[in-house]
Amino acid sequence: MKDFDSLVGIWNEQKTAPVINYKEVINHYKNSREKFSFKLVWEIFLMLLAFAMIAYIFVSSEFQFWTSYVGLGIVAICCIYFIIMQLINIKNISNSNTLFDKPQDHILFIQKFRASRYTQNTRNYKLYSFCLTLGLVLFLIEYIYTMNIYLMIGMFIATIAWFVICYIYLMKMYIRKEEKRFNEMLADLERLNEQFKDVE
Amino acid sequence: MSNKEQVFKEIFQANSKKIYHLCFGYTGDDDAANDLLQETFLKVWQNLDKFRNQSMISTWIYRIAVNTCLTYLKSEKRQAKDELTPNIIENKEEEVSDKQEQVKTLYECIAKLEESERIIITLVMDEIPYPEIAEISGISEGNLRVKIHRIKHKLTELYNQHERL
Repeated sequence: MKDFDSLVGIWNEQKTAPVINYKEVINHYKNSREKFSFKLVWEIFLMLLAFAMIAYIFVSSEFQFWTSYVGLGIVAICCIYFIIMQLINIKNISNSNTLFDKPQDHILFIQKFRASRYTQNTRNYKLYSFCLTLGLVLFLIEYIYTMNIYLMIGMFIATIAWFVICYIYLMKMYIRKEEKRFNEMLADLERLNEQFKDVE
Repeated sequence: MSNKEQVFKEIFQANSKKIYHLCFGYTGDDDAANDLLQETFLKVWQNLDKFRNQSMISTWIYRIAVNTCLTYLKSEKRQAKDELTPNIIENKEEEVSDKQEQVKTLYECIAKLEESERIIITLVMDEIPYPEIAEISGISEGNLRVKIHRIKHKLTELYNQHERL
């Protein structure tokens, strides 16, 4: 039989030690910051490039149908939305120094942050992909009239199939998966929150 | 070496071992503990200028470590292992002595506690003063004393049960 003081004695005998040193931490910080900045700049650059191309097509081409202009406009708005959301997420993450807060406050912040990410990943993503598809479909209407009948039927079937796969299968599967993860995470955080509450 | 690096080196050397114990006690996993230690000190490096005016720097480092542990496990969906990884006691290919075996058993028992209990008891065993533990955990000192009493009892029971097996 051992008492708690004996356990402290055992604890003090341990030889476990970290395998990393301070230099590795500094190097890791410098490398990850560079990678992160590059990834961020690259993603925004690609989206801006796509936006510039859409703007160029919008200005330089003369379309017969108004649907082409509306379609391009919707796709352009989707690009802007993507860039804005990326910037907001990055700003939120960099401003969120709740690691210094009490564990309970930190847990609450994580709950709120994950809830907003969940909304983005489900409801907003649904709307985003719907708008993107709608924009593309509207843009392609004009081309359907200039194509031969077989190509037109082919494109029509492909578009319907795309809608069916995205909205009936992929989207539902994705949302169900996100919902499961979100609920598990909420339950875990709730449990942790309870543990840091004062005892009765 | 810049002044910032020198300060960081001193802070790292003074606190890393205890922070590692906290992370190891929480995860029961050597690799995860090293990851958490690195993540904690990344935050320290990032915020070093803010720390310089703090009198109790170790309290802030502990708090970052606690929050990092809580978030890390949830985001990675890792679970504390019942069985510890072999290198906890054999990483230097030494013979497993009785003392090391006892340390292994102790970590196994800590892994059976709740998350907050693992954190608190690790701090207690590293002889962090109670007011500081209260500051780190955000629990009032009076309630903390009650919690610590319960956790000590629970851990001792678990250890003795394990030894009887």
